[in-house]
Amino acid sequence: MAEIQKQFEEFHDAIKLKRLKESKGLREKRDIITDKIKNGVKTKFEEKKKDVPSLEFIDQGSYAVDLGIVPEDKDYDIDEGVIFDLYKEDYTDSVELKTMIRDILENHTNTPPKIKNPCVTITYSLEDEPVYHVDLPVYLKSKYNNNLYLAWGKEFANKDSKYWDLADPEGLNDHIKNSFTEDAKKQFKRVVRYMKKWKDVCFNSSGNSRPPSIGITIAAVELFSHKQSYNSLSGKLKDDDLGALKDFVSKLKSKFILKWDYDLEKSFYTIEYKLPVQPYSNVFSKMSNNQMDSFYQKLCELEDALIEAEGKSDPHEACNILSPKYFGDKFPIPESKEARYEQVALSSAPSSNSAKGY
Amino acid sequence: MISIKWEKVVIQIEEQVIKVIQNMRQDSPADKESGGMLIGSVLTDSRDTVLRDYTFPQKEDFQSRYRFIRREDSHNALLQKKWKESNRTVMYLGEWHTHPEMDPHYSQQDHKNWKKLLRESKTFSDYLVFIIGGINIYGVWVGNRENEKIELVFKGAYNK
Repeated sequence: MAEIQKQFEEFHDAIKLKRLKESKGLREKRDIITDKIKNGVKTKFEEKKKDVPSLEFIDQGSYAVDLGIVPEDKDYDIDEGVIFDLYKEDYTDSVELKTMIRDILENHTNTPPKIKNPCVTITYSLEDEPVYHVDLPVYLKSKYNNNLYLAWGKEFANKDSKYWDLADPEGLNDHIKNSFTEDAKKQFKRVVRYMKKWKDVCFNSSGNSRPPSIGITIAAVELFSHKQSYNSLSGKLKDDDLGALKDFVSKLKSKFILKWDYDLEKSFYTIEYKLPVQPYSNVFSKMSNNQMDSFYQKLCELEDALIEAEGKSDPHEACNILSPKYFGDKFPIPESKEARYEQVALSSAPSSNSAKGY
Repeated sequence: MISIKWEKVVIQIEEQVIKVIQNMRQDSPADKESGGMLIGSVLTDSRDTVLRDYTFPQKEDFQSRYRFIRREDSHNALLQKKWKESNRTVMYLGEWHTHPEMDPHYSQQDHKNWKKLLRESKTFSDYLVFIIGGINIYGVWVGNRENEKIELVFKGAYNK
């Protein structure tokens, strides 16, 4: 079995995104935006002679759960939920408060803010290249229960495409954060990051051909199990990321169902995974049958590669299978074992005669 | 891969070596004894020995239920070919054969044969490795070429 735990951990260090609290620059940017929103909301409500609502902010996305990887295109992504202490029953137009936030931040960046279906997006650019963006989903409360509701819809969309969608951002964070502890938690985070990197390397970035990160994460919370291997020399157990990754890929594959598509007269491997919190929607719902089938095929290829790598005794050969094809060039390839063998003269042996005695 | 510590050296046995023995084990009544050379290299940095290749029965060899005779010429020719292909890094490091018993033990004949190999083989290792593949378990012995002392260093079940 290939001993490439060291290479996996080096790879992890290279792709791991620091937590928001460790990244001063991004944290400051976030605080500038949240302060601006607080002040702007105060002014807007005062102008309308209405009571100023209190606001809460919640870190969301991969930063919040410490599962981020360094983005391929250097476009960092921060998700910051804005919770208004207001009731959705008083706001029939779900886009009204998103428009307000857009207007508040109108001149904050060179690229104007954009209202997207689930959030308002603020893009920071450097020489016309986006360097990071902040997604601001907007939530309201309800008079009748304790749930939060996400403001869904775009500015000029028709009424049916604008609504309040039940959501539980904090519950989702907790679900992910509390799923594992100690060494298992560390390996869980590494495995999710390996999968995210694989996704970046092996899928086209356009449209919905890439399976969503939240889907991989939710599946990993359910399917991941901590794997260690026994080192007979040191007598110790150590983490086996290759084994854990292979195990996860194989379990994820088994969640696919072969489905017949009557229109295309073809069968596809499809997958559904329910969000573990409100609104319990399918996290892969945006992917088409074709895209899900290609996701499945790519998982099969990845599994084959992991099995092949595992069978190699030379770490050089094992890493050569995985890097750069599946995980990109950040995955290190150690020197070939062949090069580390001593050269010897030709050897020989006489005949050998063995027999089992009675 | 398994790692065995013997005296001051570490002997690594790669999975494919165990695998070939496992595949040829005599787990049905008609299976004959098989065997061959164990071939490997020394790592320049750690001086560890790595068993990474083998030969298996050739048509000149004699195989019956309780006996295996490995001829000299065909296996030495294979060894030479492997040596060239490995950029001259592999050498003869011992012998493997199968036994039709669950937990393998060496016979008088095996022991006598191993001593002959310790004495007469021409190779650059101070010791040779002998593996007997039983039906459930395989055993690994190491023989010192200096004093011809042979000791059991490992017994274990095959990987599934």
